Amino acid sequence: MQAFEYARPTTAEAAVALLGSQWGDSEVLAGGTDLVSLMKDYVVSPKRLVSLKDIKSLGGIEYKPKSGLRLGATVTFQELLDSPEIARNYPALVQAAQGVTSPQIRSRGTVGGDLCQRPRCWYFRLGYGLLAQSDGKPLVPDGDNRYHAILGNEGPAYFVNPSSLAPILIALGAKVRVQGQQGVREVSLHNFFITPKSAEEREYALQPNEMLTDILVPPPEGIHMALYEVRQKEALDWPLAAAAVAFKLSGGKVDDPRVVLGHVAPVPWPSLEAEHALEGNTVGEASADEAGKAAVSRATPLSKNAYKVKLAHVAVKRAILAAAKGGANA
Amino acid sequence: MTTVHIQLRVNGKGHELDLAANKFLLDVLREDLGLTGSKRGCDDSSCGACTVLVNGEPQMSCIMLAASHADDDIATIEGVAVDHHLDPLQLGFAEEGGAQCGYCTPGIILTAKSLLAKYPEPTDAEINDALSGNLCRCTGYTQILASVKRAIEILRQSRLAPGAANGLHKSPVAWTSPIGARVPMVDSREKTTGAGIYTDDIRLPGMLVGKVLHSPHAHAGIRAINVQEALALPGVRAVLTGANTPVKYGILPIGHDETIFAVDKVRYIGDNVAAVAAESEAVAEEALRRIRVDYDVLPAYFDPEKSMLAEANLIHDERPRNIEKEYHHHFGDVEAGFARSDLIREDRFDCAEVTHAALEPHSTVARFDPADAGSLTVWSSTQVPYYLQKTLAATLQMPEERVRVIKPLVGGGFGGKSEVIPLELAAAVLARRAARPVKITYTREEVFYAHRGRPRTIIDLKTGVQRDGRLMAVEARIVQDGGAYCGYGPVTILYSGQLLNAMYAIPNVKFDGYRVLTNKPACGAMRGHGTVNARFAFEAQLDRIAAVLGVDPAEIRRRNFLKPPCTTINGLRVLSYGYPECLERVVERSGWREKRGKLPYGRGIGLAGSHYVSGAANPIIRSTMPQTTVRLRLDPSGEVTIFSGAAEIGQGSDTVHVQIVAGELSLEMDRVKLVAADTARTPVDLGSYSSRVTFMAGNAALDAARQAKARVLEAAARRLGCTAADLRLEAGKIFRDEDSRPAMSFSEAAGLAAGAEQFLEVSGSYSPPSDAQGGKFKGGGVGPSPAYSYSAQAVEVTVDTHTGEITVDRIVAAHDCGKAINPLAVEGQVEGSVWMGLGQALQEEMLWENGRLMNAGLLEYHSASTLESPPIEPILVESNDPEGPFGAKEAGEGSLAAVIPAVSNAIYDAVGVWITSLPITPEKVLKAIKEKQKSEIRTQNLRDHYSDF
Ligand SMILES: Cc1cc2nc3c(=O)[nH]c(=O)nc-3n(C[C@H](O)[C@H](O)[C@H](O)COP(=O)(O)OP(=O)(O)OC[C@H]3O[C@@H](n4cnc5c(N)ncnc54)[C@H](O)[C@@H]3O)c2cc1C
Ligand code: FES
Ligand code: FES
Repeated sequence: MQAFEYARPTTAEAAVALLGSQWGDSEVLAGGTDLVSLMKDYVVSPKRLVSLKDIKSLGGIEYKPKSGLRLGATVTFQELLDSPEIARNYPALVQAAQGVTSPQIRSRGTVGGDLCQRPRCWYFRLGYGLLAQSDGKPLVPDGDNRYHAILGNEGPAYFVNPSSLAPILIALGAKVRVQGQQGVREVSLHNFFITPKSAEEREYALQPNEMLTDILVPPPEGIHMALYEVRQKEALDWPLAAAAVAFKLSGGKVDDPRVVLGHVAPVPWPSLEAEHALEGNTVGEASADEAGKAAVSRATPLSKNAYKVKLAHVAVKRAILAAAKGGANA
Repeated sequence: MTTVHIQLRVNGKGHELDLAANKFLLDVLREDLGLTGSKRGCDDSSCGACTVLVNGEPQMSCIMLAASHADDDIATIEGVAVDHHLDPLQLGFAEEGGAQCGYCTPGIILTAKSLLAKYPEPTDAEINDALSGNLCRCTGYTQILASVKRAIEILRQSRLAPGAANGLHKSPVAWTSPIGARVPMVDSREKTTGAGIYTDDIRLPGMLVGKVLHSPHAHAGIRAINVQEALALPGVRAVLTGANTPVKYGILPIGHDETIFAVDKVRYIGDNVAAVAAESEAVAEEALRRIRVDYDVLPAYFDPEKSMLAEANLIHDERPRNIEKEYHHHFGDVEAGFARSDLIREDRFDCAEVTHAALEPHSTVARFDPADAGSLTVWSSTQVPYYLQKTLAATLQMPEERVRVIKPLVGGGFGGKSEVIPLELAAAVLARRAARPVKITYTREEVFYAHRGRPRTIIDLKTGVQRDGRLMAVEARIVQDGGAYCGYGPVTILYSGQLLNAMYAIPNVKFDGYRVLTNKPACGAMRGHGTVNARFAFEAQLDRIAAVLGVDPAEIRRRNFLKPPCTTINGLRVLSYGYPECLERVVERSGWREKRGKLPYGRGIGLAGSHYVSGAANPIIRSTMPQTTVRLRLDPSGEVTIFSGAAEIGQGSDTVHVQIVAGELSLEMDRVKLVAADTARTPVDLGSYSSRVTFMAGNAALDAARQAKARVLEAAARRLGCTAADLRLEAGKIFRDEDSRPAMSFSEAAGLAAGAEQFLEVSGSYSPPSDAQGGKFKGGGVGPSPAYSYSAQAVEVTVDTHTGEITVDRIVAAHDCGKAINPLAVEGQVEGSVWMGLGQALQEEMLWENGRLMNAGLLEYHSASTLESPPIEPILVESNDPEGPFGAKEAGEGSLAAVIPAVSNAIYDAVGVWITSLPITPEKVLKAIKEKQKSEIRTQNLRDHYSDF
């Protein structure tokens, strides 16, 4: 690993002042569960690490029935799981955090880090860059793409967004607060994730000298929500496909549904098709299946990942059924 | 780099340190504080071996910057036992076998401690959830769960009756033989307290860090290597390349095709090109970057079936068509057998490459004696100290007696440390060049590339049976993708053919085996060596045949039992055969009759069998020397010391030695000490491979103990004026005839036996009998063993028919180990084998792309955690082998293979599809279900509309 300087600012403003204006100069260090291994493997080699540990304002969980939930970026999975308010109001968020097993990861990994963790694409992790290219040629289409994207994969990015929390947070309409050198801005989490067009970009809408400070989730009133993950392995692994759904029911009919797929595209993938299929319908086997089918209707699997189409379809169907069964938040 | 002054509070003690600001806590603990109980399994937050408690929470010290934890309370394993009083968890792990190699143990104990501090009475599910971030490669987690539960029990008792004696200190009772007793491992204290020393824990004065430069190309000529820039770097003490180390070596006498560093060409990505010894790891890494290698890239071979057609650019010039070795065996007449068959099935099976991934990375320390530069001491994480000694001597061109190999604790092997690994030689040559001790420890990625695991195997299997299911003929064509060097290759391919036999009676067998070279790391011996994939194919095909015939899978196996004592058609002598009992016990325990074919769609049960050798009857290097010799020393105080070359690697071989000697001499186990695996002090044992230790070293230990006993009794008889036959040895005392009062103590008699000498010394040995050494045909020497273990297993699965996800609900595994000298250890071995087989069945796979390993990490390799590890119910069957020590046979490998076909057979029972390629992923299951449904629609055309949900 390349030697680096280690900075421990105590305010968010001071932290961003320490960040460079180019990706790669410096990196934000939260729990380090992802970043340190990337550094040890020379995938990223920052000259400076800016630790968030001493910035008190980045912690804390607050819930108000009127305004909803605020999660500080450095809240850990464990803190999230230990919060009775989250358990009561956002059961699907708890489900998502529970999917991340291992107390070691839960007690160290942060929610901000979960959203900003880098793709698990093995080409990226082997040093072929974010777009997995060798001599300018993409490696994924002809390579081992069994875990890669089936949607939004027209290139040049083929990886899937690895975050367990992002799909449900987007389904719930979450926003994030971003601290920059000029101040603070808010972005919807949906727009926070982007599909990079060049290897110099990142997969999220931060400038090199910005960082995420808070996650804001609207109140869950009347919302049915659920997450369904398909996994080959229960622990120490990422799902093969996941679906998060949130909707209201009025008179037994689905109202304003949100369906977001995980691990199928370079970004968490809101499925307008599935939402459209669900809107105004009663929830049942058939309508949930229709929505699942719709969610993958535009899937364009690569040479080795056609199976993921079916998995995503099933995940959507099961998440919808679970959400309807789970009852709404009062 | 800036240094910072910090205070670190570890185990309640403050430390003032000046540290690089970017130093990780694990490095500080191990290097600066000498607390080596925290282990490094991956160094990248994958395995949990480095877990420490930070303010009571388990965290991975390999990713924590030490400087940011100055305000925290840090607890390591060294602080768990207070004033030498073991913690209930440490007692629990000893009593219930939770620590095999012990490498995962410190991290697991700490994680469990944190759990119990919060929840004193967790459920099994809560324990498994809490331990899901701590990988273990040995136990399969069943005994780990039992160990934690035992600790909970001890804690509960001490709450009820505070001050009561804790677990291990039981009140003295009459002596009972340790043979057959569930005794804790003799090294469990070292392993549960962090005091045990593994190779990477060793630090010598002046020790340098060694690093190896690996090839970035799969196949390339080396035009030139320039090391000047590397040598010029301050802090670099030695740089070596193939030009310095031309001597060829290899584990098999017929396969000396490796050199320490590549000469002329590299043959796989990861091949060893050069090495550096430097004052620090950072300098060593920088030096590697400064070595300039001019390569001439060659076309490479990655697929064994394509490689077999090669005409040019051969991987080794002297191996035409890139075939390392081929064997063609034909016993009986398969054509005639097929002609008399009522049903013949032919299938192709394709089994992915898997690797050992022992939690302890390979590590070696080498030192030339400062006082005597001609003598070398090597500490290494090895299963074969003796072969390592020989190879060091050969490659360094030194006399064998000037090379001493010491095996510290080994954190798991599974075959991956059963041949010489390049770092072991590299460390030694670097130490010689630098005239300083050198340590090389592989990174986890290097461990994956060092490999020597189970090759990808393509099996074309043809089996003919009569209507009643009786086997008539078996024909197998087996191709193994051996990688770039020979290694154990010829042995591996031979096992795959030879051990088609000795399980069932097969009258006609034909085997065409090809060990093929490709441009990937060499494969080698891995648990169940050579037999596993062929067994999967055979047992899966047998079920397919049974399905066509309408015969119950248990019944078709019964109809083909061997009738021992017998010698198979290929010359394997079988004396004890507990397979029938294994099968019946599994059928009973699993509820086979009630479940098979009767569970709802999506759930199924399957069974299968497997077997393995109890040591290869023929040594790797042909010789008349005994395979193993064990020396015993009795001192006049009656203390017994065993000197054995056998290599404990977590399987419990040290404990078995002590049990056998204590049992035979009727002593308490704590009066028997053991010195093991130090070539300067212990006699030769060939090593821990082919499951030979309990059988062979155990027999040698028993032989020595019997001699010692005879000598002691004779000496006592002389003093008592009777004959030795009038005396009996019991509970550390000597009794005359039926007298119930002892005539003499064991110590007194031992003193008499020693006479004028300082000690009484005897030595025992073991050589397999000649009628167990197999047929005289080419390749006939591999497969014969003095005894075979047997296993039968039943597995229950649930298949999610819409996603292909497979959940294993239950595994019942019966293993014929002859005699369980230590049932606790045998169960641990059976569970660990089954677990490893399950990993191969469902998850593990080395994924290569153009010679590059895509998943060279424990996460990416999919090593199962507690949450994917179902409970395993072991059943021990004791067939009492006539030649095994106390009847014992092997226990550490034979149960691995059966679980794989048992899973695939269960999947058939659940959803009606046969999966013929490993691992059985959701993707493959889903595809097979879809195809089956399609073909059913096609053939039956029953429904006009079909929804596949
Ligand atoms: C064994 C293992 C299993 C895992 N399983 C899962 C899983 O199932 N699901 C899942 O989603 N994840 C999983 N992960 C990933 C883990 O959840 C994330 O790595 C974790 O949440 C990251 O948090 P962190 O605080 O450790 O981030 P770090 O490693 O510190 O940072 C990760 C990245 O995010 C950036 N970053 C962190 N915080 C901020 C911020 N506030 N502003 C801007 N950038 C920031 C860092 O610069 C870095 O690039 C697993 C990881 C491991 C090692
Ligand atoms: S060594 Fe730290 S998690 Fe493996
Ligand atoms: S005992 Fe767990 S890794 Fe060996």
